[in-house]
Amino acid sequence: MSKINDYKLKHLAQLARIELNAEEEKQLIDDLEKIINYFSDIQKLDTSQIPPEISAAQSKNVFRKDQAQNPYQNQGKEDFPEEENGFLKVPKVL
Amino acid sequence: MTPLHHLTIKKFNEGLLKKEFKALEIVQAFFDHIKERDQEIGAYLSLNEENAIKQAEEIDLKIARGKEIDVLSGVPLAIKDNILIQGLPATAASKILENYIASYDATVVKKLKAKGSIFLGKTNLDEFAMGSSTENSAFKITKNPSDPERVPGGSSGGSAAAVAGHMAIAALGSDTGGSIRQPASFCGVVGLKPTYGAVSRFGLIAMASSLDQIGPLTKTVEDAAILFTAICGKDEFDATSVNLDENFCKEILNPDIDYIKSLTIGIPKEYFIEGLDAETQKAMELAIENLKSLGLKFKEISLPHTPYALSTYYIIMPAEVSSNLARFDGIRYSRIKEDKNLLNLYFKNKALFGNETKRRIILGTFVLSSGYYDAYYKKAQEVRTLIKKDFEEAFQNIDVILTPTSPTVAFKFGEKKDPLSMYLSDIFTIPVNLAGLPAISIPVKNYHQIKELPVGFQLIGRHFKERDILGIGQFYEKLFLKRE
Repeated sequence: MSKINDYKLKHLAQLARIELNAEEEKQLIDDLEKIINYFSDIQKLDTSQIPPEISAAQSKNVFRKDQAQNPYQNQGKEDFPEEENGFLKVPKVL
Repeated sequence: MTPLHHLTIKKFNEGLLKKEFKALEIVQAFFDHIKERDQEIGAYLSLNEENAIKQAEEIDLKIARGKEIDVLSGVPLAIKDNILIQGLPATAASKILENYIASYDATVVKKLKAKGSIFLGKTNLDEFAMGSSTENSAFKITKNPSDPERVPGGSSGGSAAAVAGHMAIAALGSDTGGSIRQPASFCGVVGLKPTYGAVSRFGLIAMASSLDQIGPLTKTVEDAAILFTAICGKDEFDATSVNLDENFCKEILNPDIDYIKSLTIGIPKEYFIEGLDAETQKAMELAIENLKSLGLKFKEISLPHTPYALSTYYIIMPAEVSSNLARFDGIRYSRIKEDKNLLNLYFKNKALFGNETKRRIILGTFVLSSGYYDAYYKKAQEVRTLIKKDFEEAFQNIDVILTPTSPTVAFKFGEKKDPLSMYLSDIFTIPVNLAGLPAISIPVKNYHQIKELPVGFQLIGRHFKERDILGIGQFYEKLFLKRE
């Protein structure tokens, strides 16, 4: 029973914005098929009484005062290669 | 001149204080050795020579003026290339970040800078920390100093090889499913994955945010304790980091022998199964014999959901990866030329990801996609709770859990072409990250000058009880891992 077929993979690649060539697609379908089949073991477990565990850490909200503070304000700029008049330049979005 | 392989953090600090050598001499000696040895090993992706020498001179000046220094002052460290040091490259061993220069320091780097530590360079890893052999690096492979035909493990293979090859006194790595512990085991060094939340992840290029932790790779357990206590603690920039009081560090740095002797070690039957290779089997028998001779009590325990950990991890981790790596869009961090349109820019940029990275992003996208989310991602989260509960129940009767770190010794390059067989090399380390517990890999013997392939044993502790695993480790190394 194939969970990942050609069409499915193209769809996932589209969602992930990853370009794959024909060879990569074929290899991925094989690999993912094997891996996803392996996952059938957990399908058999009864977890009806279990709440999902979101994180390994204690789940609680971490708040701070609503005061502007950003010591890194100007450093993100170096990650952007193009700038114009103090604005960060990006390709056309709209 | 003190031979470099003798130096631990402790010995280096003693030598500096006794004026047996200067920081500058040692740092220069390390760079000389790196230039020679790293041609073969390939642990480093980039070096930080100019800055390191300047820092060493500053430390020497400080000492000459009689000023007080920290135990980590002047200590030459290697840093995994997914941890940001301002002004230095941070490539995550990926073509996508080939030209990226970090614009800020990771919190752990900031803390070490404040103590005067010196960074020799950035080490090789599997691309975006995805892998168990460092073979997935986009730039080079790293060889295991114990046997150059074998992998150093991964994903912190470069850091492990740098320490084992005496090209740094200690190193930092990151561990999401075993990426500190497994290479430590393969290379015969110590590797600690702290409790989730003990060390800030700010400045670590994120892989799987509910699993990642930064930790030390060192020559001794004592050094691991020193480096860990220097980097741990709450950080306002990492909301998952936890407040640790001063006793936390004190208990780790000054282990109480009577307390350590009172601990009970659990042996989980699900971890001592067929599939361990002969060397690992033999080494584990020795480790258990040695630990028994220290007077520690043993009990057999069961962690029944162990067989499901691999599936659980390989659903949750790729899901988080697919989310975290979305930021590499060709606009920020790296800019590529694309004139057609925005969508094309994304596709063209992400084509630069390596095969394993692509595989995990697609897998993650699949398990989160409509129609599959419940059967896979939600199910895996529920099984994660079962795995966590296994540990909670076990820890009611024992204090520390002993397992092999890896089912095998370091394998040869190209041996694990099938992704699933590569994933299986992490079966003993993965459950620990799912539960967020601290764990350490300690070499069974001193492999430094013998012809055997290293094997490490893993100790798993309760949440925030690094003192238990580091305590037993320091006790073990005093008797069984003597260094000349």
